[in-house]
Amino acid sequence: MDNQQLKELPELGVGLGYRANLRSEIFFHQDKIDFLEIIAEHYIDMTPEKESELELLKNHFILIPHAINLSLGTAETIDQEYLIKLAKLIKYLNPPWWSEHICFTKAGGIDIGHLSPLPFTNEAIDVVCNNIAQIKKIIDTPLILENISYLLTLPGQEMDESEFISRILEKSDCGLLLDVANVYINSVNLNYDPITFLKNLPLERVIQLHFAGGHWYKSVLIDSHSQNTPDEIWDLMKKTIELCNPRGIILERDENFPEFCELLNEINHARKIKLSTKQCV
Amino acid sequence: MCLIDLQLAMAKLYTDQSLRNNFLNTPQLTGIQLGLSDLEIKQLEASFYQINFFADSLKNKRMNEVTKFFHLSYSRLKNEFEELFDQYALTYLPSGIKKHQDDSEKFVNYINNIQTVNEDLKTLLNYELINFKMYNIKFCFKIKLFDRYLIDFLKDYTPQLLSRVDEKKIIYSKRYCIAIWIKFYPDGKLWHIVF
Repeated sequence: MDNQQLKELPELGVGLGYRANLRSEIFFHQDKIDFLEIIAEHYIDMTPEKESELELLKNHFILIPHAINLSLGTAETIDQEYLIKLAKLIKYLNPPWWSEHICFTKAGGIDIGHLSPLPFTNEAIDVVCNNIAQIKKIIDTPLILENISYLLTLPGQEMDESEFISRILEKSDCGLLLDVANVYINSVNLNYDPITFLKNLPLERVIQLHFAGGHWYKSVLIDSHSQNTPDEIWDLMKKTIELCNPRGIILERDENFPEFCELLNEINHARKIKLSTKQCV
Repeated sequence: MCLIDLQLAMAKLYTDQSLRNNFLNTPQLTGIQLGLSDLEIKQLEASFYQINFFADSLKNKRMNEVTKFFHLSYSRLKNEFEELFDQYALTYLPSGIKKHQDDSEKFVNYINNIQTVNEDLKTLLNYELINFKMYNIKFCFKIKLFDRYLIDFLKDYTPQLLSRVDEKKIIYSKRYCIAIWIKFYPDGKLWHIVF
């Protein structure tokens, strides 16, 4: 995606990560939610119930597929069966973009079950970009890549994370799904300045933001999507929006669900931040 | 070490508790067996807390996903459920698109093979597993006899399901119950009753 293509992506507003237990509230408050992000894996090899759900969602919202298990950074080949099924889903939804994470989730036949950090090396950049090139042959919808939260820096580091992400984005020509919560959480756990980190990214490539609240466990801040968004992440989001022009913002919530009005308040707050920041800029 | 080998070593360390214990106790020997260099062994040894933390979060995530299939069992017998899942998680690692469903089925199989497990938990787990499967297939007609009385558990959670059950029968019939699931059309309603 060159800069012109990035500029042409539509403005989607502020939405919510779809979770099945929120379905009735989402439809009841449809006018307050600009778009939804769905976990792609939940709609691959669907049950009849999931097929109906997807059709219902598609008929009422713009849906952005968010993949979690393609394992972009795996040094083995990408799982072709998974890729073809994912491509079919994306074709059916016809979204303006779709997303995956900069990480690996599979190795040597082991499905790790979560997003695992890559070593910040030239070899890992090549692997990610080669995998993306292979994916782009099958899926022509623009792909945006998300930064993950992590605790462990793998051996062999040749650069810092911001350079690693920047070079992947430039080389693969992808947009960035900037998870503001992950930036904040990593800055706390790994003790760095989040603003410096942000400024070292190619912010013109930011297409979408994620935000959420995490929780503390054994002196570690966890990206659990289980709490309301704290002030520190709101502040970081505001600073991020001052520096770039995200086309969509998604609130993620996976656990400890509050009254739905609290989620709507957060969506509305993000909307206000975006509007006020852009007016100031 | 090249990326493909490093990823394999990390995947093993993240998912195999006995290997992590070996690495903690004999880092040099275990590291060499994993193909790590001296420098890599030292770096990972220094990060052992983070590796273990990530491994624990993987197991917790697995359990969290499995509990979504077993709301009744988990809410009723939480401590026992968690203890058994910890034991089970050491024995099996799920994979694939439907890995959480696969994990849930394997967990029930594991529980069914342990004589000492609370029979209430076994009954509830088996009921919920069947219920989930029936809900997600296109057509079904299934009758299942349970040798424990499910209704006492179910009525606290799904009173509408039992609205037609005669309460007197609940009092006098404590040994068996029958569960029936019927679905005529792929996107049709699942009819289910327990009596």
